[in-house]
Amino acid sequence: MIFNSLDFAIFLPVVFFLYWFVFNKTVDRQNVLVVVASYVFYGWWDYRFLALILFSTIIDFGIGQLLLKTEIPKKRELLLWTSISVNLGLLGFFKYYNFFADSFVDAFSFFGHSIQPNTLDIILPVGISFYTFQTLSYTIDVYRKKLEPTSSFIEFSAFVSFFPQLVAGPIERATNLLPQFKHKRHFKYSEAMDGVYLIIWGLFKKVVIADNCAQFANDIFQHSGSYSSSTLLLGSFYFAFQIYGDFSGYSDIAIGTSKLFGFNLMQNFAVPYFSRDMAEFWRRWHISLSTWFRDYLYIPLGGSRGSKWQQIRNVFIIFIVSGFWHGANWTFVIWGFLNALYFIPLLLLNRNRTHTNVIAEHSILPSVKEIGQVVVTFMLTLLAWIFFRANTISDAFLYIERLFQFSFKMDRLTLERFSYEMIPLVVLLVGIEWFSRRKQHPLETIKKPMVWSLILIFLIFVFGSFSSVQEFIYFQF
Amino acid sequence: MIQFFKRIAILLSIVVLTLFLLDSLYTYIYVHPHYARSKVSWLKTLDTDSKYDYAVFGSSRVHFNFNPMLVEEKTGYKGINLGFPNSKSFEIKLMVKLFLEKHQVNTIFIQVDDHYSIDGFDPIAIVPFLPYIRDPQLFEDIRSVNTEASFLYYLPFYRYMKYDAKLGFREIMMSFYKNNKYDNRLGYPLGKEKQMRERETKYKFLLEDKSNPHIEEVITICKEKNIQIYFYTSPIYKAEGNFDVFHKNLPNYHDFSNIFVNAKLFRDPYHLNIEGTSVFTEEFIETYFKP
Repeated sequence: MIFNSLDFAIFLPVVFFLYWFVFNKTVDRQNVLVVVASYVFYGWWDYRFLALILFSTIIDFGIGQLLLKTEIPKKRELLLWTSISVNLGLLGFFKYYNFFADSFVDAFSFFGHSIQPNTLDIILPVGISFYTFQTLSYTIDVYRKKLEPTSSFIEFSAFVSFFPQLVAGPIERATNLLPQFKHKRHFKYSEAMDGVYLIIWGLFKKVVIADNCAQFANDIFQHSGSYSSSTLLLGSFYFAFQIYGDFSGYSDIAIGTSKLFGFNLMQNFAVPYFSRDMAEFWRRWHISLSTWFRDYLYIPLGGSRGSKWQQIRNVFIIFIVSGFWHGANWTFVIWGFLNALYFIPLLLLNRNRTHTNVIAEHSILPSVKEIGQVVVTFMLTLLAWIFFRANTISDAFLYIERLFQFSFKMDRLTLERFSYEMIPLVVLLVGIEWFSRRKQHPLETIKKPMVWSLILIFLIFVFGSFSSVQEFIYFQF
Repeated sequence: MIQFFKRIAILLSIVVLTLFLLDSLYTYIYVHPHYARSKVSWLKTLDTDSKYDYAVFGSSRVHFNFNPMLVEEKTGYKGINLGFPNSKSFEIKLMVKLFLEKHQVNTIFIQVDDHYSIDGFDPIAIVPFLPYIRDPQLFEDIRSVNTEASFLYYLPFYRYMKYDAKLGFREIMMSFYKNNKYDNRLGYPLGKEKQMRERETKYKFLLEDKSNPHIEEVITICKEKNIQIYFYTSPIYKAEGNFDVFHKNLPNYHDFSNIFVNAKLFRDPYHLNIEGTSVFTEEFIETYFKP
């Protein structure tokens, strides 16, 4: 079930009604409903996926209980590694088995040996990367004694399968989300209305920005050989806003939906395209994943301690692993590698924490220097997105090669639109985000939010792309 | 909670009202366009009660490949090209009905090809008719083939959202400043100069040996209105198929499919270029309009 579907438009009010009017007597009843609703939501794609999430839940709940009962370090370590192996093993099998099988075949053929690929017809379960990381955060935090393991299986199941963020995040920490299942939730008008506004804002980003940009970006990337450099630049520009509108839109809808049920999820995006350097970009883009890698991989590896070489190694590891997390394709690995290359100079010059505040914090407009910084950072991001979007590495290089031929033409695309037609809508988004850059979302603490919501809804109806409904990009990860 | 529900109720009410207003506005613009952008819309805006000697119906193989101006120039017969891309038998039927509502004609020509076997509607060709779905006859026709017709009819603005690429805001805006290419050309947009590259591939099609209900309905309508009806197949580059199905099921059928073997007259195996269209129209005149 996707958020921008009729199914979800019926599902959400039904669950809302049951949650606050039928299952509202005790926290256990509320949690049971969350689990049932979440399993219905997830099973809507394919009921077979439910077995996987249930298995993962049972394993990590059991390991949490065993960690509670033992203080023997070796045994605790063994339990931790069991959880990591099972979770990453499942993720590896479903997501990476065919990739590694194909890569081995390619490697052998490179050295002149021909072997038969032994690939399997595996369906990638939706959102497996997200809930795997979420359950891992639980086991690791329990192992580190940062979190008391829960004794309620229902509570833990609700934490793992919580439907608003199950398939595409934000990847919640057990320390933040799990305690919220321990207490009965009470309806708060202001929180619920804020949730509604966030859902509307998220839908605007998804339906108006991402889905429209997707049509242009798909066309340009698919026929990149026949378009001019200026159109290819627009293609990467559109993809940048497609993925941003898509993913941040999903996150906003997820956070907004959670608020309707009395939960607070972490912010996942904070105007990342206004970043003044790549370090700031990574503090503002997919925050839940970046901080996950920071806490559970970068810091255990030594983080920014140790020699410069160790620091550089750690940066490369987290960016490449992050790239690989996104998908079983070398294009994602190159994307991660490129981002590491962008980050290293800042690290070496100790400038990776220069911009911790929001741009133009005390003024309406940015300075010329800030504009320059934002433009350079955005251009670097665009270059990396080409690898992220391309089907193969050679496609990405061909795209970049044509991009740097500097030919200028306003091409008419095969979808019978001119390449520049989406620019006004993207500028509208950028403008709205600029004036709300200090807030979590544009409708927060604004005068007359209802009026602005209605304007957004109007824009969704008039400019939204409905004939080519796209699934959320991050579902594939 | 009551306050929350009140707010949501207000929000939803305004949303529904907005949808009604948008639906009315878009429909008004399509019914009274500044420039008619689709063949259906163009037909709706033509002077009513016009009399024609003939009208030609079909898909892009009529739209781009039949020149009524040339016919008028050579024979004096006044005709109209009412073919439009992607249309199948169902859309041809709708177009014939729409035309006969307000115009008179002596003869109708219908181009048939491998789409003859399709009984259903075409998801692209049906779109230009949707702004006019409130017409009871049109609604009944669409409902007979499209299970979603009631949603398109009753849900305000749904048709414009579902087909936003073809009926949405962009198309509305375009209707204010950009006309179609066939206005004042009797429905024939000048085709494309492009020439097809010589190729050996043959265009094969296998027709089901059965009559098409929509075409049968058109034949009945023409009989009732005393209109002569002819069927033909436009040229195809190296066509191969069981055309006997047409001979068997259609009255007054003529097969032009293999009259051209010169690739230079085609822009692709299925469509003629400008030169090919002129040569074919002359052939058409020779067949139907010479005494």
